[in-house]
Amino acid sequence: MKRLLWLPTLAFCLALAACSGGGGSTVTVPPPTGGFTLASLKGTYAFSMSGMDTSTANLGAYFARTGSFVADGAGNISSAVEDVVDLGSTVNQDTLTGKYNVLADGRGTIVLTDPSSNTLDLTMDLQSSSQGLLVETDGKFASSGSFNLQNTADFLETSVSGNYVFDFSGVSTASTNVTNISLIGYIAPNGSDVISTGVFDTNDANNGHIGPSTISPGSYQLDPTYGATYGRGIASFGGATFAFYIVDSTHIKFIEEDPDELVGSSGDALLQSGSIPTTTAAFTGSFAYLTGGASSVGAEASVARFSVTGTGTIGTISYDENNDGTVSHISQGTNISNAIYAIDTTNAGSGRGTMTFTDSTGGTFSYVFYLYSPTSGVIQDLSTNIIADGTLLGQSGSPFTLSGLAANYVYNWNGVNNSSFNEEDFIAQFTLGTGTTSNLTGVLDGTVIGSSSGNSYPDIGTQGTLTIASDGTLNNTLQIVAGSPLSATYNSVVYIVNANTMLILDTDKSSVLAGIATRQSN
Amino acid sequence: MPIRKTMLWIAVAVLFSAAALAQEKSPQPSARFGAYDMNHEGTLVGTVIDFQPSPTTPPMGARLTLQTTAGVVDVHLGDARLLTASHFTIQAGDTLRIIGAYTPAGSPSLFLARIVQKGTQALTVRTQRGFPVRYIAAKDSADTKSKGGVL
Repeated sequence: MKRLLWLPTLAFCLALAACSGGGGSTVTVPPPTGGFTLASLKGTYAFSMSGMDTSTANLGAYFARTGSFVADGAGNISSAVEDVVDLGSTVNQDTLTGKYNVLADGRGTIVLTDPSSNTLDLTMDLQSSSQGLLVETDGKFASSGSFNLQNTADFLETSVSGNYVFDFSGVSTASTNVTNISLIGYIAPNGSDVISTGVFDTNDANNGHIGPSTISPGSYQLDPTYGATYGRGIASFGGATFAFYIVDSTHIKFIEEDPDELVGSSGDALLQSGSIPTTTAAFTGSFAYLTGGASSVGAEASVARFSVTGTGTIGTISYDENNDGTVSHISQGTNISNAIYAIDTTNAGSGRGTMTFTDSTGGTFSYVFYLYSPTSGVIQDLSTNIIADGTLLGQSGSPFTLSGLAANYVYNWNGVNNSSFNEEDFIAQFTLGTGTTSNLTGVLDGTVIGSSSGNSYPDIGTQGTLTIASDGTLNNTLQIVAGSPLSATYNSVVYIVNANTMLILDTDKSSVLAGIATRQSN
Repeated sequence: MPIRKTMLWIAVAVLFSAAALAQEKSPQPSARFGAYDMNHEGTLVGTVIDFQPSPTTPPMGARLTLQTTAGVVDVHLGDARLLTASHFTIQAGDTLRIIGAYTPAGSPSLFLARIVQKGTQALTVRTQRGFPVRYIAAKDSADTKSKGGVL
């Protein structure tokens, strides 16, 4: 399973893949409503996508693209540049132009064309005029990701200064076997080409968890050709080389481009802000997290919440997991023991912390996390035989109700089909109402590798029901029925972060899928 | 550098000298579902009763039922494409030797295979830490497929 879950960029790691049972063929695509127009996409945007090569020759190879495009607000992509890593073939970098359209609900398409007339077909869901989701719909690759409006005034080396928390995930071929790899930590660029220090934790199937490891001084420079226009640059740290694209001074997208092509990874880095906890006592509140990756039986994803009061103990745990189709739930009770956390004082100021708890039947769950704000961070699952990472977010605004959540949302589900082991990527837009049944309608677009109907599934109508349990702070349920030709029913658990954000885990046995839904604004 | 192939041809002697037979103790009590305990690896030898490359019940991935002298064992192999790509065929009646480990107590009884041997052919299906080897088609340096905008 691929990648990280990273809320600020709306890109996720896992996703929903195959489904439980058929049905849904009568679900139609609702007419688009909303206030989005062509003018909603105007400016320079950084984008990042990752997934899997779908070609017969390179099936299963890690694939990622990160770049930048300029939209004119009138349907034209005047220029674009991207870095592409395909561990099945080569590393490429190229320039493109293109067209796009936008429907009233924020859905749209982008077609990019290179000088040789090769095309890249994408579907997008605008979350706002400054960010959105992408999924590749030409069937060439199963990939999805996000895009963010760039601040071109920050396309300077001096704008990149401070502690940036990152979460990179991908594939390592550096050892005997090809495995998933997760890297989280922070780097400290100094605003003048030097990454002065940093700390990171890595976890892969060959070497296990290693960390915290200090990052030796590295470097970064803006690309003399594409830096001023697209914010592109090159960075070296932690023994790896990356291309990066500056979104703004607080947000950078990275894609690993090592000359030996032994590791493929990508992800985002966010500037630390606010009062980052430096002691265990300073870390308080309720948090929800979503991780995705692999276990010793296959794909794995989990979603959970917990509370901490500064004492070093964890309470009010609720945990759901889909481990290669085996679904489990854990609630707080006498079944929970050794539930503790600590902020790393050896690396004080790094935002690094650890936490663990043991369930009497589920085993021991262990994590490391890095905070980029007092209530937000990235998290890596270190449990035995798990390689996964994702996002950690403070939970606020409870009790949660349908009336408080009713709005338009976009979301990205991606993950692995448990039967084919192939990737599936979906993005979607839906309207959540206040009714207790059939309160969700929308449309999704995606790619399912190797499906009988072909790789691409555009314009699939969806209907469903979100059911909130009690005050909504623990595990809620969501069922979505997708229309023809996908014709599938997805059962999920939902952890509500706040009035704008929901973490979603598919609980069907046929696939391991997860994602984040975020309220639209326009 | 080419991606390392996931299939390893391992000397027969290595397998034959591997740990003793049959049932191993359950791993540590705090292991999560599906955990692979490399400290409790063992070797099974038996006859395939049934082979399912794509079972419909979890955990998914190729599985087989093996008749051993100690009883019938459900074996999880991982991504069936690894077997196909390695020309490793399995069918009822085959005699296999399998190195692996049982899932923890409390989980459905399942033997997670790390190395599968049939005759003189051996295939690594899990890393030493117990993760399924990720299937990737052999790297194709002559790949000419459009990357969607990449020259």
